[in-house]
Amino acid sequence: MTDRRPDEVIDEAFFGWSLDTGEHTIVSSSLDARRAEMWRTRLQDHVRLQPVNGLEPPDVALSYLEFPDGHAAVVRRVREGFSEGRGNTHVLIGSVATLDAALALRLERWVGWKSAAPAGGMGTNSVHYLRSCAADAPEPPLDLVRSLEKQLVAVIAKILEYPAYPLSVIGCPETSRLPLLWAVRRAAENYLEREFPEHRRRWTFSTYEDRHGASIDNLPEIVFLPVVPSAGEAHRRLVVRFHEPVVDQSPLVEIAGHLVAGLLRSTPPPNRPPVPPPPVAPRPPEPRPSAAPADLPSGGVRVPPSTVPASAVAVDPAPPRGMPSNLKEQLTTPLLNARNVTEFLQELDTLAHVPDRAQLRAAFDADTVNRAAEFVEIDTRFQLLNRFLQTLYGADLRDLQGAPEAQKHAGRLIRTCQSEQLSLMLGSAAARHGRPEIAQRVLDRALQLGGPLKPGPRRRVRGVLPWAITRSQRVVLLALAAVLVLLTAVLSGYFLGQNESADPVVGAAPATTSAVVESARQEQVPQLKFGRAQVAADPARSRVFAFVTAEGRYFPQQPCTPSEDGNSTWDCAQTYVPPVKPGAPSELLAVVVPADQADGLTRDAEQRKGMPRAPEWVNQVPVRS
Amino acid sequence: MTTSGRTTRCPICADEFAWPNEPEVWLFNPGDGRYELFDISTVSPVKQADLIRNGYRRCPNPSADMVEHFLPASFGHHGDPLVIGLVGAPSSGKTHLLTAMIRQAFLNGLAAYGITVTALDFRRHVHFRDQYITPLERGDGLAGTGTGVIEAADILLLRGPTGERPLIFFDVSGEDLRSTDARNRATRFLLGVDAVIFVHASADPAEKGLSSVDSENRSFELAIERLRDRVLPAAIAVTKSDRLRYVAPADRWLHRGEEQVLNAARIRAESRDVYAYLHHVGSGASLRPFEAFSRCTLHFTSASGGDALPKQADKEFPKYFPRGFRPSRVLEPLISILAMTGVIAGQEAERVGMP
Repeated sequence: MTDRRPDEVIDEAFFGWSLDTGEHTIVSSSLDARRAEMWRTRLQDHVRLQPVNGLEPPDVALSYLEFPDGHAAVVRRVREGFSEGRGNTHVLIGSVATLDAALALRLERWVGWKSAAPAGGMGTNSVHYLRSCAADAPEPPLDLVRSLEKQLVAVIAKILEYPAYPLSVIGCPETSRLPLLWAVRRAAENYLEREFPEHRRRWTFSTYEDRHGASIDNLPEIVFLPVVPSAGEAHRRLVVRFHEPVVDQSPLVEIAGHLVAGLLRSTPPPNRPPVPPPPVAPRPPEPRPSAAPADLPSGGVRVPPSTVPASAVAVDPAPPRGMPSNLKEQLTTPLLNARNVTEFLQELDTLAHVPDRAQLRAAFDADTVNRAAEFVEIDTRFQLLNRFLQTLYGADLRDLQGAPEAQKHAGRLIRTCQSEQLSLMLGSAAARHGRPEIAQRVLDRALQLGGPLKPGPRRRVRGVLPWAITRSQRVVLLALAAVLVLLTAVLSGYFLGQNESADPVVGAAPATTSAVVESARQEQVPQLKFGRAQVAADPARSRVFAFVTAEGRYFPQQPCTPSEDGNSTWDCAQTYVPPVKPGAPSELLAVVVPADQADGLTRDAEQRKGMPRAPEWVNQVPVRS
Repeated sequence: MTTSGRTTRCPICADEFAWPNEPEVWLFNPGDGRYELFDISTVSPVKQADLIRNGYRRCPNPSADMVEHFLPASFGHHGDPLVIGLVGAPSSGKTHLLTAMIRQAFLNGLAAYGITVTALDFRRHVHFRDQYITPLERGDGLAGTGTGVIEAADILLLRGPTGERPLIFFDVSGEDLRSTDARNRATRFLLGVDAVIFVHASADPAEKGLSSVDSENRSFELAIERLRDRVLPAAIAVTKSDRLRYVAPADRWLHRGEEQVLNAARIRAESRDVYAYLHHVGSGASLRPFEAFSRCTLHFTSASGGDALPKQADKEFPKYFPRGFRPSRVLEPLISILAMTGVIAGQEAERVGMP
């Protein structure tokens, strides 16, 4: 018998009515007391079958849940046990790596499911055994899947529209739920991974829920409900009604149709979507404005969705219990993540509708305002001027290449316009297009500092004129001008490259200059953390490694070193800024890892590679500075 | 943001904020279960009033520690809200009691005290009726309440001699009430309650398989500790008292049915009998609210009139009430609460629950 690694073991737990404690809880499991309590808390919102609106729940419901620490659970609820709403539930618990959605979907008919509380304790299962059982499970009959073609298209089209958002399917017959899930995943998984790599779908699911409010922690990505809940709990999910025909003829429906046809009739899948899917930072699903106010109840004007406050819908669904939904982040992140002037203005419009401005002011502290202002003062001005110049000279200012009239116009502008930045941008573009004689005008302009320039009429109040300076400052300004030319050239490449790559249809990688600038920005403000952590580790078998967690991933940094203080105290330091969105919250952690993983993690750290938490990392503590 | 200048405490997140007075309301779209924002500044005052009556305002939740939630847009237009929470062990009968109580209130059960009841949140009440009242009237047993519920069970409007007051009921899972997790949002309502009905089920060892009564009532204990610094009225309801219909002194009270006159002495007499009964059967742990709150009454109640039985012999549930749905004295705890909170006014009301 070979030793099994911990992640090869699937634990079991059984929820039911406890005669000892008089409540619905874990009555038997293979877990120790500490882990049993942890899993009871995690699963308590997912282990009951509740009727809704007089409709009886199904006799059996299957769910697959994932948790942030890399664990997963397959939950089978049955309509048996103590009472309605407090029935029996059998749960399999393992790591995401071993207990994945594909396996969960094939465990519907697993012979090991228990409907009544086991008389004795419960043991563990090997993954190998479960996989062998699942391998014997038949796939859903193709005829049944074919009968769901329209619904499959509707579901997949909705996912394509908002790939980052969870989905609720309303009114799907009980027997069609698992086949639908199987088919959606089979038809769309590869396409979604290829086209939307930034949105990792976990394919968590539940074949029955009575509610889908935002207050439910860790609700799966796809859930089935018999009816739209009328209790009034706010939710942040996409909704697809099973029996409503797909009337939308949008390109997304067309793509979804191709994907489903690929599954059912083995036709080749689409390589690329014909229209741009949602932007990288997708807008949340919002109520669609009606076409005419006539359908509004008793009058009133529907406020356009874009003006709905971001906090209403634009936050991640179901924050973990006890981790307060961070309203500050909800309010500030969209604005700070704005990539261009248009997005910035849209976010400002949204924020203008937040009813409580005191709350808004509390969210926008000095640091946040500084970051927003920096965007306005640097990026926004540059983008506007860039857009202005592109309007005058075409995309990438290509008119400077071959139109003598444009070159003449540019030269004149560089010599006489009021804006230093605009003249520098023009000069850099001219240099890029092989017109050094126009770029030379920038230097000529600088050399004329204090000279008889003839500025045009001004319409706005300006500060001190740049040429009203002493000659002693000219040398400094000349050097500054040269630096600005170089910087502008780089930034031009960055923004122009970004504009070109913003089209998700093409799916092109960001321009190299973009990466350079991003990298440069990050290295300018490294904000590397360091400090001490107190955690026990067996030196013979374990190492303490520093990680930075951000956006749900772990970025290895370097091994921590034992502190002189002893007493299991470690000095840990961050070595780089993880390649995540600017402003994304991060934390420096000390994690106890198996000793044989240390070298690999060091190599991963050199590549700045993020990863999920591995189940064998037994302990982690924050590093205190 | 324009406000009415009136400070309101949200019963869901327990935050206080100035009630907004903006010409925008959120309307619930039953099609997809979303709230949609409407600008009503351009419509006539009559239509505005109607939309406010049916619309919602989003709670600003200044603490930013709760998921998005909404209150009826007219919530702040009436008198101070009266928030009542039901506290009790799992399967103690909280939901059945609340359902029977609200049903009786809508059947003009409070008319004798000059109080009428209507829905303030129409949609929520329709949901409550469909989910609970209708099945119970049909004779069906109700399912246990699921965990993690943060919303109010029902929001009503009381109209009486002392004015109009919203009445909000919270009924969460007994498992949540037993949770010692301080981050559990389902029990947040306890921070904002104005009165509590503690629910103790008359024991049936066969039902839960327990051979003896609990030496402590953790739901009660945890709630009392969270409310200890506040002066609140409380009522203890001994539910499932139909099991005691041949046991004195419960039999005498159950046979009286619903009362029609407020009588502090009678309420005190019933409280005395309930106290004696609980003490006698060893349920002293369930008397803790009486010791913790200065104004507390005790009542025998029966939400259904009898135990529910499985509909099919080979299955534990669904269950039904074979003798039909016959609630008894379910309004008495509420009437005592109304008297102790000033909704029912007068000298007699002032004596209710006093030592």
